[in-house]
Amino acid sequence: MSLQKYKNLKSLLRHADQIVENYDAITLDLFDTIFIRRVHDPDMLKPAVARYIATMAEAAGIVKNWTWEDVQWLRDTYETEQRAETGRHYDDHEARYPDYMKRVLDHIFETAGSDELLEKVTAYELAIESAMIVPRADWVQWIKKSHAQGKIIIIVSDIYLPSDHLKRLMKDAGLLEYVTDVVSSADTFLAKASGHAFPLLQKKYDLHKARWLHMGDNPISDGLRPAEFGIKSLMLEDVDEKRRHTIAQMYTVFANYRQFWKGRLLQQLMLPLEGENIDQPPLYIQGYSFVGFLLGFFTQTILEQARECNIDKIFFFSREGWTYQKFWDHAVPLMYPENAIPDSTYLYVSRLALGGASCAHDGLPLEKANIAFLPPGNRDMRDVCRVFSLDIEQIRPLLEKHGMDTDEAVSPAYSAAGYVKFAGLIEDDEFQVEVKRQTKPYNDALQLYLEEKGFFEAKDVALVDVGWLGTIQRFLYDAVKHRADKPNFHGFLLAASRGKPYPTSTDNYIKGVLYDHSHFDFAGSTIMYAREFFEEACRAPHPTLVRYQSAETGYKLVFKDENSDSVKAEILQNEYFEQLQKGIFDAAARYGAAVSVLGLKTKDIKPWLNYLLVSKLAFPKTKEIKKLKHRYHIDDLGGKHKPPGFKPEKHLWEYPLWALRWIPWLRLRFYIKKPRPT
Amino acid sequence: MSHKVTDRRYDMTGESVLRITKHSFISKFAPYEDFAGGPGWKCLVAASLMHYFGGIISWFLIRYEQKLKATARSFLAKFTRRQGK
Repeated sequence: MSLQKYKNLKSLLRHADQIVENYDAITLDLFDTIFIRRVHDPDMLKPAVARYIATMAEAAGIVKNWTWEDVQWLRDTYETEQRAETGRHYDDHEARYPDYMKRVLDHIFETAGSDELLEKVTAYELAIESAMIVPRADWVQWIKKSHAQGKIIIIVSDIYLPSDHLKRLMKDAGLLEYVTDVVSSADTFLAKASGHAFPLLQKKYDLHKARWLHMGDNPISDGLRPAEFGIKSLMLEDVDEKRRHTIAQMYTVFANYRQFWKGRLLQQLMLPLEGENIDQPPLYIQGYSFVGFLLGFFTQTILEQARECNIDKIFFFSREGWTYQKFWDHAVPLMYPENAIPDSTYLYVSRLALGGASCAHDGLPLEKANIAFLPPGNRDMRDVCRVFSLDIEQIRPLLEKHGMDTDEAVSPAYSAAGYVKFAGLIEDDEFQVEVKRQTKPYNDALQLYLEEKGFFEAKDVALVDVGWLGTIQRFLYDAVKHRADKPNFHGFLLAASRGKPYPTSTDNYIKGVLYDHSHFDFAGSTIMYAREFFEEACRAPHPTLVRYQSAETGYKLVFKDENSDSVKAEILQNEYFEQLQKGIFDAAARYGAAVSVLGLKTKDIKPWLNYLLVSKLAFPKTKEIKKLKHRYHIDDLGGKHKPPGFKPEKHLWEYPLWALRWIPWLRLRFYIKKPRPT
Repeated sequence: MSHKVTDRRYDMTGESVLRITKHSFISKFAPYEDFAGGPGWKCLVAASLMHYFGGIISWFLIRYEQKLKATARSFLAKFTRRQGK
């Protein structure tokens, strides 16, 4: 029987369409035919499972320190032993995954017969496989069409995974319902490679050679053997697939050779292929390739630090934390076993809501009160009272006592004399008593909310926020530091500008992940060019929290009025960034899978991340700035005043598009000029 | 205008190998911290070739794979014999 080769899938399927009416049964190879892998070498997936098992063993308290290399060696040994044993009875030296993996697990965990453990590891192995394989779009269409024509379609694979595992992969790809059966050499030890699979199929499904068509990519298993058996076979020798494989292999080699390419390899494995790779708007592409990767790095750092510092719980601060947590939920399950991942919770917080609640026990010291004057629009006592949730009418007598008026400028940016009076007011014990009295109900409600969220159940908690000064964490710490069951605060910010020094202590610190001004680096600092962009891009689709309020049921969260102009503007901005967020979330699971497969740590990826930051933020194309620049940004702490002679410093991303396009060396000048916005 | 995330050269849209090359050049005189030595010109040339001429290279590899392997094998055999290994 003849063997025909095709250089691309379209020409193969075109020919198959012409002849398919002569055949009732079609057998198809699975891997590298219907499914393609993002990696060039399928063995690259095995170390991910070895790392998973090693982490499970560590979390389970196994005394022997199992490294992933040990686990991989054990797996290879047992697999080889099974292949040798099979080879004594069959022509094909096949192995069966559940058999040898069970031996591996029994050996490591000393728990003979633990099916639960095997199922957990199998689920992970299949999840990684599933994340790394892509069904070819043309095959999917063709299989559906042939199924509709009533053809018998049987998937045949020479692999260590038994057919029920392959069925799970087919189901994930949405193909299982269109095929008659899935056959694996792991079930029978009769493979296509020796040709023994074909008589077996003939007998099992009562197939007639003359009405049987086989298609696949292996010249022996899918070409020579079926032809020898007398079946018509079509063989795929896809040039384009060869090219994609070679490119993936090339980046793998580069990554071994130069650290810079490790991150690029990671992104190569994340790239959507076939049916996933459809036309997308520019914002989706930025979300997928740029922000998604940055958040992947951020998430992975938090995870690494959480494991290092024995952090039991992670709290994502609203509102950017909504995106971070969603990313976390998609990416992290592929990185570590469930029992090695800290719990995560979304916490409704805001500077506005915590400002007042944080004053209930220590009052309002001057250093903290000065935070109200950071936004240049805040000028008088009305602004101070707004920031710290104080009722100005009730402190009016105290203001009069200090010769102050509610509309008198007290910010040092507006009036030095006013600020001196303000400092006097702060030092007044009566004022502090009034502050504590007014803010106590907010603090009480906050305690109830935190208790409900299990905040005080953990010894160490990670607090995750976008940045930049760590004000929310500072306020939260002040609000709970009087409690004996207060956990240790480990703060992780996307970037820490440290425009105002953070009151660091052993049980309360912040750390900038992508950038921390306490150790300046050129690449990381570029994130400060586009702070508003990162806030807008990651913002949750709910208004900001205004205060915690006591209620009959305990507490109540009060949000900004949805009909207010600022919330309406935010909704417009959220709609604009909808595609960007979609790109970010689509990237999450692929980041988790690719990191697990490659076994990369954040330090491996940092050089590529630096490159991305510099190319996208310091040297962006004008059209990129045009797309990414925020449109509506409202600072919830900021007032409406303007200090005399105030001229905000203009940074790269604030330049008009014509200037970005035509002024020579503009980007380089900003990049080398060290000060960044704070 | 819509594009695919993976372009037809299996490169990243908006972050192509040419952009890496450009920044590799800038990094020669602007400080890129922790760039870990950068991409290296050999890698950049190879990556550019694979992304831009990969179709022809792959066709050639598939067409002459067996002959190339046989040639490589015989060359290695001769080489190792000459080395006395």
